[in-house]
Amino acid sequence: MKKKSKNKSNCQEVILKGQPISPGIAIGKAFILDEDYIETPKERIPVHKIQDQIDKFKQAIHDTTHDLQTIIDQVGMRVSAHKREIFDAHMMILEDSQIIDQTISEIKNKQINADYAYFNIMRNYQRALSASSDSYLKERATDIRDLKRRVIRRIQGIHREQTGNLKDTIVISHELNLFDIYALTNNKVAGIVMQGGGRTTHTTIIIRALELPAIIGVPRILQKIKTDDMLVANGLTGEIILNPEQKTLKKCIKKRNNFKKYEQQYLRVAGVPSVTLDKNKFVVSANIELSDEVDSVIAHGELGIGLFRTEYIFMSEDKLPTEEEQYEKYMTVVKKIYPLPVTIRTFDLGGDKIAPFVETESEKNPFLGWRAIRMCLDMPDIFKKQLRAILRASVLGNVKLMLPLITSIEEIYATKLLIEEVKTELKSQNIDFDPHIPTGIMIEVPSAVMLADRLAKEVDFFSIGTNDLVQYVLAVDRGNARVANLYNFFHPAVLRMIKSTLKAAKKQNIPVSMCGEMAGEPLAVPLLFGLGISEFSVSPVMLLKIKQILRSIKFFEAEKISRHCMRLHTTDEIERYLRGVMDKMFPRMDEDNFFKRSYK
Amino acid sequence: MVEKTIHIQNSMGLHARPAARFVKIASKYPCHIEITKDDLTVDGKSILGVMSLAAEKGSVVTIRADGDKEQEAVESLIILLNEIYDEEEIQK
Repeated sequence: MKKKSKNKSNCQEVILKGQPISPGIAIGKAFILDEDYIETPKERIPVHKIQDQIDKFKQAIHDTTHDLQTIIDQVGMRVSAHKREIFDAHMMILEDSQIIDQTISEIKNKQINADYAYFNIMRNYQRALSASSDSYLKERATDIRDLKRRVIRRIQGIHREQTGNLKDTIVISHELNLFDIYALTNNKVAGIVMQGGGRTTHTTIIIRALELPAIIGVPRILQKIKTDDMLVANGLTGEIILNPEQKTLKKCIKKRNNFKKYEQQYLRVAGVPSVTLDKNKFVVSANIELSDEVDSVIAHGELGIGLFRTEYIFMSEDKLPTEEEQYEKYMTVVKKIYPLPVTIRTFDLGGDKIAPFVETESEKNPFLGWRAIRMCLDMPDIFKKQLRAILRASVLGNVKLMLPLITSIEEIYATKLLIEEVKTELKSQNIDFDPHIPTGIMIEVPSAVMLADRLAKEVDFFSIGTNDLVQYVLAVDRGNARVANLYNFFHPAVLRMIKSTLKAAKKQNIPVSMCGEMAGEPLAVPLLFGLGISEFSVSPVMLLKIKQILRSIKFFEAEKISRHCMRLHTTDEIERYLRGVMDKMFPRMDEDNFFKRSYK
Repeated sequence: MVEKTIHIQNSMGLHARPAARFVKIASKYPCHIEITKDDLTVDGKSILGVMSLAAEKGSVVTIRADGDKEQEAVESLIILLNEIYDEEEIQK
């Protein structure tokens, strides 16, 4: 909603939209951190001053090397091998002899200023690399952009640390990398807004773990906002308010304080037991993708890991991870979270997650294609290596093994055979493992729901993956904007699927957890608990919120709520009813838009 | 001066990560190292140089070293390229 302001036209309140990736409300002055912000006008340098420019340039490279080293030292032991590789690549490009030689000869031959020469040479490389189809090379284009910025700031004598106090500012950039994020966190910024960025990039995952309000994918924001503009960035809704009016600002400050208050409340929840008002136990656990994320899980109290997705380990490198590399990652998580359990899911690649190490033809229907367990069973050597790494880690703590996308009993038989083979190998090599490692399956395909009574006899636990289940049950691809609105986990058919899975599991007395987005959706929590879901595996930022909701209900009330939902006929009725329930439980939360969005 | 010509056999060619590994090894030697594909010659110690060669699978490149430890440098770079290929084979 735009409102005419009485002030000058450039101070009008404007609302921009982006994609929220990390919850929280940031209010502060904008700080533009981007290449477009640096200006490198061309200057003609008299011959006797050329050497000065060259020295200045060499000094800038030297200083930037030092800056990077400082950041690496600060980050220190916390970084994983993958991040160290990113740092390495930065350093190699910074010290690249070809770039340095070319810049120096450009300065000499054209008699121009160092920053202009360096900017142009780096820009050419950046363009060439970003045009590449190789993801590794594309990533290097981001490195070059970042380095270009750093070195030029050094040449011009305004390096980032002196560009003003970043504390409490909202940093606006094209796209930030891990270096930036760590530097910004040290500077205590209020929030982050990026013009580009992706929901599942490493940077996004780290921002979320650091609990910094952030929004990505805001078109042309760099043209619309200047440094020192007043901003409100709502990481819950993706809304950015530029030049908020006094009235708006007041409202936003209240919202932010409310949010902070709730956050504080949740933190208090970290230390208290996971029981409902009527002393029924429940389990809230975390979904993680990177072994680094385990620290932020531990910070939320004594909660285990309900889903360790291993795809990332397979996707982050061009080559296959070796057994040792995998073992190291599993071991880190298993040891850190001990004595609490961690459920490791074997790699779920294919579909929208492309494995760089296999040559896959583009499929017409990737979600109905060669993915997850199908891929695992077709490549037993790769699969067995992963099973070996998981089994070896199992002896160090409390490990469960989970298989994705099971559609038939045969797939379980085939996997069990491989597991037995691996166990025999390990035994003959005198390598320890947990012989009774619980093995469970994802229930995320309608055929698995239909066969749940039989599957339950074969495995130790179920975990319902709603993201896939919903799209298969409702025949909706939520990546397709025309039908995405039909994707809704409150659809009565989905609820029936969940209920019937739970019924089958109960008969065999095996536990059922849920690890899809639905488990982290506050509105769904009483309903799911009432149906009989015993474990909610959610994104680390949602852990304490879900825990708090469960602590605020009684089991018999949740049962009543779920019974009522099962009687309703439309998705809309169910959602409206649940919203009413929630409003009664937490009267003031809805104004923060708290229950309208969940984070994967 | 030592010179050796090799067929790039690994599927990723000599860009991306293999390029970084190549440059890391090359940088350890005091001699001048260059690498040529078709009529393009780049500095073997420059990551961007090696990447910009775009040496894909099946291309023929010449590694040339001139100066101290030139023999050793060329040999270890050839070994590296073979190693990268072997690693891929094992993974298959």
